[in-house]
Amino acid sequence: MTEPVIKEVFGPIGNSTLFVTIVRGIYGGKNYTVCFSSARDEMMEDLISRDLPVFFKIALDSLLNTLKSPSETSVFLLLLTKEEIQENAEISMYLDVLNTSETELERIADDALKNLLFIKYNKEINNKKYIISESGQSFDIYNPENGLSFPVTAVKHGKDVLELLGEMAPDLDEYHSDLYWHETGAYVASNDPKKAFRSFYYFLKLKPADYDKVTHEQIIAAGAIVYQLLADTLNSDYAELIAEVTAEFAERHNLHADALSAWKQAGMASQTMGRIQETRDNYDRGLRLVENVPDKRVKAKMHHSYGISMMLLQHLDFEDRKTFSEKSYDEIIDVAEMHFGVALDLLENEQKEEALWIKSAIKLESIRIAAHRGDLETAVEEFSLLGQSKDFFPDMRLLATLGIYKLAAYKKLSETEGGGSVIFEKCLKEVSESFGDKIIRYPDKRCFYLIYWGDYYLEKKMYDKATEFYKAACDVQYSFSSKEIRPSPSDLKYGDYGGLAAIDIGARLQKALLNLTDQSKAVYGDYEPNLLACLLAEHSKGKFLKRDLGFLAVGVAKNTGAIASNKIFNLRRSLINGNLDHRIAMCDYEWISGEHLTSPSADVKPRDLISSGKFLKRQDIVETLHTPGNKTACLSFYEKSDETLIYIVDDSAEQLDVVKVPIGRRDLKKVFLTLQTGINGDGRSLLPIDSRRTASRRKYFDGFFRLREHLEPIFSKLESVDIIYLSTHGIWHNLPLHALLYPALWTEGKMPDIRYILSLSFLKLLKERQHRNRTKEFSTIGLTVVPALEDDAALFAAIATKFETVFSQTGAGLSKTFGADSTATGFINAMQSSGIHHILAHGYFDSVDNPMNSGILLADDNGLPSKKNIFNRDFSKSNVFSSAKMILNQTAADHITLQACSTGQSFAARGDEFWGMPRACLIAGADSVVAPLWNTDIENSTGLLAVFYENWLIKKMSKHRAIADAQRTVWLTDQENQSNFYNWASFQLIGN
Amino acid sequence: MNNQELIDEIDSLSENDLMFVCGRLEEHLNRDEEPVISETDKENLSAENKKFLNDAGAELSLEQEEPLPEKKALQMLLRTILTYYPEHGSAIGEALEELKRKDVKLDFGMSIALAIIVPAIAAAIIRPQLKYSAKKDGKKSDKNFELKVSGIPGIEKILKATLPFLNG
Repeated sequence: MTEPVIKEVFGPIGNSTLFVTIVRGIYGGKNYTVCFSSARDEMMEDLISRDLPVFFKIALDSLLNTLKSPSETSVFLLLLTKEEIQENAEISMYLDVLNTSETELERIADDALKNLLFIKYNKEINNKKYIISESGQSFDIYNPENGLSFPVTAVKHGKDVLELLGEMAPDLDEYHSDLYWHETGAYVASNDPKKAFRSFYYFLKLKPADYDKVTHEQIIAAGAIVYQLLADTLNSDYAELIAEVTAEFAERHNLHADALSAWKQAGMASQTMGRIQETRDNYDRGLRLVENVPDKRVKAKMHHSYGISMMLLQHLDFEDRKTFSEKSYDEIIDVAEMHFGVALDLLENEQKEEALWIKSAIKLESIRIAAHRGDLETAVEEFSLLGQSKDFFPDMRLLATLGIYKLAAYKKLSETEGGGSVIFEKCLKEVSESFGDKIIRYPDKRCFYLIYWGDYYLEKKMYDKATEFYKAACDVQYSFSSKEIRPSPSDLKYGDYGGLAAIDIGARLQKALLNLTDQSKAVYGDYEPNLLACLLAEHSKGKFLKRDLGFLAVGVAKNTGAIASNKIFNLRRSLINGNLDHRIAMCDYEWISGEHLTSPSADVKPRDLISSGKFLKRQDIVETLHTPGNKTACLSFYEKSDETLIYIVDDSAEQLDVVKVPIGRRDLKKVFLTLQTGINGDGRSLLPIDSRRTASRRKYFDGFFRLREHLEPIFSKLESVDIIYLSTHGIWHNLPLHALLYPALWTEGKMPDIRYILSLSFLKLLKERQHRNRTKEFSTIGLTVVPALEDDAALFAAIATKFETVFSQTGAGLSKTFGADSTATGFINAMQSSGIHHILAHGYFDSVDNPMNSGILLADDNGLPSKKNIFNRDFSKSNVFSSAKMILNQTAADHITLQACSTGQSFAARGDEFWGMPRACLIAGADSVVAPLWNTDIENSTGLLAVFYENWLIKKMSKHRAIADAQRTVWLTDQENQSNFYNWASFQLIGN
Repeated sequence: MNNQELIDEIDSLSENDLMFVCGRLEEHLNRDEEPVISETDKENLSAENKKFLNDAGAELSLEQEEPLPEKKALQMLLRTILTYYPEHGSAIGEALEELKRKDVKLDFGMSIALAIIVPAIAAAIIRPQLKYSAKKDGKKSDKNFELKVSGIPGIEKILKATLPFLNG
């Protein structure tokens, strides 16, 4: 047959995940239209576009062979996978001949790609012939004899199918191992780190034990290449996982030196993210193998790297180390020093270049350690001499490090000596001349360099220059942090982050911006300096919380196939729950969702929503704060090391005031701990407060009430405000600010509502979700009441009756579970059917291990729960319905009240993330949560909450006004006694 | 309720309730002191209290008698306080009233370390009644001040009741 002639090419069409190209041409004297369709990615697009005539010919040969006499007017839909294209194999997939318009084609092709069978190969099992096919990542088994097909996930098909699957599993794994191995190579070649990550990860996970198409060494080498690609593009979180799985693979095959190197890479990746304990864990896992590695240089490199990572994770030169104790801090330096010592011993007689490099690096670090321990003058001198020494290896990276270390030492020296700024200025200029070009090559060092320049200009009161440098430093820091996929684990020993990640550059930039003389002139885009400072503060709050809400805010396009939609929803849930490794779940999510995601508003891309939120604009503030008929303002708190900034922005976003409160992180923490101790006791030497003698704890509350004096400038700005949003930060999350604000405003006759939000972006996302998902009508109120075994059940029953009486007057139905009936299953069901849900149970806040373990105590099949298990920290028997479970099971309730001790508390660390039960309720679907910040007693809390419901559901006040009014009623009973806030201010309304 | 009635009531309390009463009593006795929050400060204060009481016990040549079960030891302590220092009866009475109210806290129960609380109670009662003649001996020594104790019968009784809790 003659060569085909292509007459017209349409496409690629649209921006969906599907790459669709329609070709019209002549082949064998007849006209044909063929639609090529494949998953969209750049590599595929290149290949198809380049080789279109070839594909057209192969496709038609295949079709003509199959159909014998195809119609000229039909469209032939051909679905391609990467394998066919990469290996230039014969196209064996024939799906359908479609008599349809081209406008429908993309939708049909997309459905087909996601839902129809892609026939891959024939397989004979137990003398029966099957056709194994793939759709996305799931498989179908097709029996041509009876025409039945079984999706792999269809467990309902029973034992036979499962047995069949079991027999086929190795073949499927082998098939996919081949596929993922080839993909890894292709994605590395096309410089696509995240796709290479995904393919290599799945290759290692699926690869059968006897897979022998590539050697172990090739696999480890591939792991190292993918790691490097990820590390070079600052995808440290993904790099860490690849290094970890590669190390484990090497360990399984007794390739100890390779495993050691891979663990070292895992440590370096964790260190780049500032995770101290995780870095130590990764290095320590490698060091377990050191005895099995004969090569001294390999061992020395491991120890050297461990030491360097430790040095990079401390940040002594900056004031920001917050939760770090001095003891832990000294330990890090000691660990570094110890590993440097071991490395030097191992390299004692080594003279090769690499060994000399390590020795020089260690020398550099040793001087720095001496500087940290106080001998600054000697250190400064030695740094100067080291640069000129012939023993110092003149490597670019080492010189850059030397430059930064010199700056650090001079900065510190300048702070301890008179005329300090002159010394530092001299050094800064000298370092710029000698090392500046080297420093800027390395992002982390560049960032430190920019901060030092910013600090210099800030001190000189040259705020425009300081702004410029801090902004650049912020951008570098953001380029690291924006690629962090997993929230940092709770690290009570070392603090949230170390190294660069721990430095609050945003606070520095805010300071510089707020000091700019001309506040009316826009500095970046249309942001005036103080507005930009406020939005910087807002943007820094709750990165992962915003991402979680973003996941919930985005929708899936209607024309997305059923299987793909299902997968997107499942992955989204896994990402929010954290029950799968975030990194692989995220990669799969991005892979499968492609362009199928839709945004609630036209001007926000779905990708922006799920990448920790977009930087707000002035218009966003206006729209977010706008509440018809009300004057609204937001107080945004930003806790710094030395002070707190409070931004006051109104709903026109025209007026923005900034109040500086002279109380920094450390003092604030003391206020919080003293307040909490005064209320809850300390579990050892102080009992919980007596609700009838609150004044006896006055001395514990004084520090908290002194904050009121600092807030004085705020009150005049809130005079005409009806709704006050409190966007808190750091320790401020756990302080009952309404206990300070309300009395001051009530005394003046003002009656605003106070609503706690986590940030303006959070409020915006919450409102968007409300618009999309919610109807304000509800027909059922849920009531879950669970006394513990040790409690007086009759008292709980009486309280339940009290709430029932209130709820019965609302006209809504009541779904009540009491006592032993309130099992997790019953609770989950109730949470799916009620519009409002009230939970009276024992609550637990886990501030020690993981705040997402915090929750409420439910019954189980054995009956009521016992408090003793929690008291003894025996969580396996405790039957806590945790925050994590709450998210996992979701809720239909628009509002949840947690009448359960301290469940309103949250753990703000790990990136101001607000971990705890309120977060869980909001992510699970509720728009508002009322929960106590401390351990409340049943009598007081019931009285307050009953009035709240009466106000809200019977008197029809707004929810926020209803709780404010209930609180005011209790306050009025004993307003002279400030300490009485214990009785009225424990509950906080979070959300909208 | 008079002190004898209080003593009768104390004899009928559970160990948990006795601990609660001690907790409230300690709070009352140290009501004018600054709050102690950090773990280090708490440990230092506790060590200081214990050292003071041990020194006072040594000064009076007190020896620990056959150890009582914890519940009995607590009853003994409270009885002694009510007998020799009746002015603290009101605080104990208030604690007993609070117990009867049965305020249900929605938490997981209280916890009190007697090894901290009891020495704190004893030290708070005894300290104001003693005269220290702090006398530096110029040498390195554990005991660099002298404690003059004499003539107040309650001190010896309280110290005796406290001894079982000093080494916990």
